[in-house]
Formats: sequence, C-alpha cells, structure tokens
Amino acid sequence: MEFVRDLFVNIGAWFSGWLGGFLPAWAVTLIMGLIGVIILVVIGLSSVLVLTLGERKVIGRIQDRPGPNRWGPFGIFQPVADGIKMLTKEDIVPRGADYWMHLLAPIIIIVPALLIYAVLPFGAGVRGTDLNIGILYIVALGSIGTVAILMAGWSSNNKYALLGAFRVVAQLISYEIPMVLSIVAVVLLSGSMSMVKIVESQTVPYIVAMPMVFLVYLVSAFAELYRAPFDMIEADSELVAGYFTEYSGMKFVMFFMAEYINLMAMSAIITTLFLGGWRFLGVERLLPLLSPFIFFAKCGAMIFLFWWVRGTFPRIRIDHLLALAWKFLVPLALVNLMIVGLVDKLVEGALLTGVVLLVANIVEVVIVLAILSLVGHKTRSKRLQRITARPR
Amino acid sequence: MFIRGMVKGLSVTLKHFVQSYLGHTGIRDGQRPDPTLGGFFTVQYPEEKLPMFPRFRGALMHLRDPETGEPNCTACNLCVRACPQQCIEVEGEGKGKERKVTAYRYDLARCIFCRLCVESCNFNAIELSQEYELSTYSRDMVWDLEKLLALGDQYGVHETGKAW
Repeated sequence: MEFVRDLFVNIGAWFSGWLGGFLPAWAVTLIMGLIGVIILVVIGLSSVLVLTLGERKVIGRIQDRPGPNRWGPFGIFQPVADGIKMLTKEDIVPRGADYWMHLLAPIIIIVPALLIYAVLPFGAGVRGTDLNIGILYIVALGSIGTVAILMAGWSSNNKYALLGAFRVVAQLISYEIPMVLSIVAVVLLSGSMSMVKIVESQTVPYIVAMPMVFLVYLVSAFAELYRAPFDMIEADSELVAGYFTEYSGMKFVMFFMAEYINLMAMSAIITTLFLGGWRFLGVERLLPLLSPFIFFAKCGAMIFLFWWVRGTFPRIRIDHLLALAWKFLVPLALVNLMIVGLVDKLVEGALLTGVVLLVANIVEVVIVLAILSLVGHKTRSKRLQRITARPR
Repeated sequence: MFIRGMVKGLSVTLKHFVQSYLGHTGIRDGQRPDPTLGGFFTVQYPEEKLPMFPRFRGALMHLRDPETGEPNCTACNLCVRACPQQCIEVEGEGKGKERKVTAYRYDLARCIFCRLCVESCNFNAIELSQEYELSTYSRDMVWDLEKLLALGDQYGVHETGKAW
C-alpha cells in the first residue's frame, strides 16, 4: 500500500536500486537518465498526436460540426493517417535555397521544444531534473526557436516565407519582454527559479494572488506560441503559409510538431507558474500517486483555453499586435513587478501576502481599465476629426 | 469596453461547444439542417442525405402504366431528337398503337440534365429522378431500360411534370 501511494517515485527508486545491485554507480545514473529522456520525448511526441486531434475536434464542435470522425471510433486514428500521408510526401528543396540552412531549421526548432520537458515538474518527485535555474533555462530555450524560424524563412528563397519570418521574429522578440517580466514577478514572490520550488511555494495559486500577472503572461503566451489570435506566422490569408511555405513532407511535420510540443510545454509552464502545478487542496500530500494526473488535468484546462480562444477571435493586425506588446503589456508588466516587489517586502506571511496582492491587483485592473477607456475615447475622437476634416 | 466584447464572444463559442454535445447529433430523416436545434449543423453525408427539391434534375427514369405495369414508352424517338447531346438510343417493335419499346440506352456520361427529352415526350414515359449519386468506379455509364424502369419504380412516379 505504501508502495502504491507514491507509485511513480517508488518504481524509479526500486529500479535504480535493482540496477545498483550489479552495475557501477555511473552506469546506473546513465541508464536512469536515458530512460528519463525516452519517457520525456515520448510524452512530448505523443502529445502531438493527442493535441492535433483534440484541437480539430474542439474547433469543430465550436463551429457546429463533429470534426474528424472517419478513421476509427471518434476519429482517433486520424493523426496516424495524417502521419502516414506526411511521411510519404516528397521532400522538396526549392531552387536557390540555402540547402544546409533549409535542412537544419526544422531540427533547430524541434530540439529546444523537446528540451523544455526536462525541467517540467509533472508531479511530486516526477520530473526530468530539478534545475535550480529552471525557468531561466526555459526562457533561454524559447529564444532559440526564433533563430530557427528566421533560418527557415530566409533560406527558403521565397518572399512570403521571408515576410512571415520577419513578422514572427518581431512578434516573438516583442512578446518575450512582458513574458519575462511576468516570470520575474513570480520568481520574486516564490524566491526561486527552480520549477519545483515555485510549485512548492504556492500555498495560494498565483493566479488567485496576482491575476494581472497571469493575464499579461497568458497574452504573451498566445503570442509566443504564435497561435490565434496572434497567428501572424501562418496568416494563411495574407502569407500563403508563412515561414514554412517551402517545406513539405517530414520537414514540415517537424515545424508542425514543434508547434504542438510548444503548446503542451507552455500549458505545463503556466500550470507550474500560476495554477499551483501538481498541488490541489492537499490531495497531493495524501496520495502523491495522483499528483501527475492533477498536473495534466490543469494542463488540459489550459490547452482547452488556447483552443477556445482560437475558435473565437479573429486575427489581429501586425501593427496592433506590436502596439499591444509595447504600449500596453510592457508598462503593465512593469507596474505588476513593482506591486509584487512592494507587497513582498512590506507584508509578512504567505496568506496575507496573497490577500494584499489580490486587492492590489483588483485596484490595478480598475485603474488600467479607466486609463484604457480614456485613451481609447481620445484616440477614437481624434480619428473621427481627421476623417471628417478630410476634403472630399 | 472591448473586455466585455471578448467575454461575450467567448461565451457564444462555449455555448456552441456545449450544445454540440447536448443538442441534435443524430441523423436527420429527410430534413434540412435547422440552426435553432443546436448540435451539428453540417450534414453527415454518407449517413445522412439531404432531401432534394421537387424540381431537382437528376438521372433519367422510365415510368410505368400503374394499371398494366408496362412501360409507357412507345419508342417514338421524340426524346432522341430533342436531346442536344444525343445520349439516348431507342429500339421498338410493332406498328401504330401497338408499338412498344424493346431497348432504351441512356448515356449518363453525356447527359447534361436539360430535361428537353421529358419536355418532348407525349406519352408520360420519362421523367428526371432525384438521383444524384451518379459517380461510379467503372465506365459502364450507359443505362438500359431495366435500370431506368427500376429507378422509376423506386421513386414511384406515374406522371411527368407534376412539380413543374
């Protein structure tokens, strides 16, 4: 019974102990590490299968249609059929393309996406590794994807790909700033960059304590994942397909997979930073076995939010997108950071800090909305004047 | 306020998402989709087929005399002459009022569904059916009298031009 209570951790401990019986210590570490890598990669890649089908199903339901339902019960073999189709496609390299860049870009985009999984805390004791700079590692890996996108767009020798890549690089670099500023607020409050410590410090989930920080992070996450309504990267009505216009077959699949691996990883990061990770009302202490399930349930809720928003909002214009980042989210994130820093220094005790932060956040919302409506009104009336003053 | 607008939009999509499970999801029997029902609006084609409108022009069919059960066609060749695509061939035997059709070949691959053959017919013998699933795996698209009569029996029509 005690073994089952914390099943995943105990299986790992038992297996490494069994290996240690006849292998030197370095070999045990190596084998355990390799098994961990395989499990994490399998989680990452299998999430692609589930998420592609799930996304098409949810978007379909939102649009009053059933989504894929031909292959197998409820269409569960649709990702397999898609995979076979993609694998059998011809691999095309356009004339005038930079061959090595064109070849390397899909690899460079998918590897950091998978590397993020190393530090995600899936449950109490269930994780790849507990890096003490976990969240910094994730932010650093997130920037590598930008390079890959620029490589893909530039090496394709196609103006749509290049334009898409430019837009996306502008978007990703702009939205990294409010995102990192929100992460700093979380790190300030939890006092650690380790993903495990961040979860452990959340007696009150940070989404309750600081909803504004969560909101800024969420909007930046949509942009970082280049998902609707910020999907400038694909913008099929404007850019054919964006930076992967010239990719086909397996190379295209790698971009596609990276997108979904990133979606899963981003939901896991949001769960860790703001939703309390594997913790849920003390269940995780009673029965640590359940903690990965709690984590994945929260992840699933976040992923559903991403799909829901994609099914609802139209694409935003590129200049509006950048204006939103620089004129709205960055100042807001800075104010958030200031409030969190002040409250963290002035108020003692976790629960009291949470309450004070919540009150401060609500006050902030009111002020921000007042400023927004004031500025919006002014801008609108100015534009109206300009239009009416125009000679006909 | 655009915040309120966003929440409103999200609630609409969520409503449709939930309704797609609660509302109508089965097979509609000969009904057109109704947006007020909720649930799936799209037609689940192979399982569910839309009823065609009365004047829909599908494949040609032959009609029978309801009393004798014989085909009404007298092999008068009017439809052959009316057809702009020349996709009809008729063979008949007998003279005058006894003349009856023995063979009728209708080339579906050429037919443009113009209904001129039906317009020209004086004997209430042919009509366009509502059959629209006309694609085949082989090229045997010339239909004979038996098949045309069977189609007529299937639709149970005894009079041409009712809907017109």
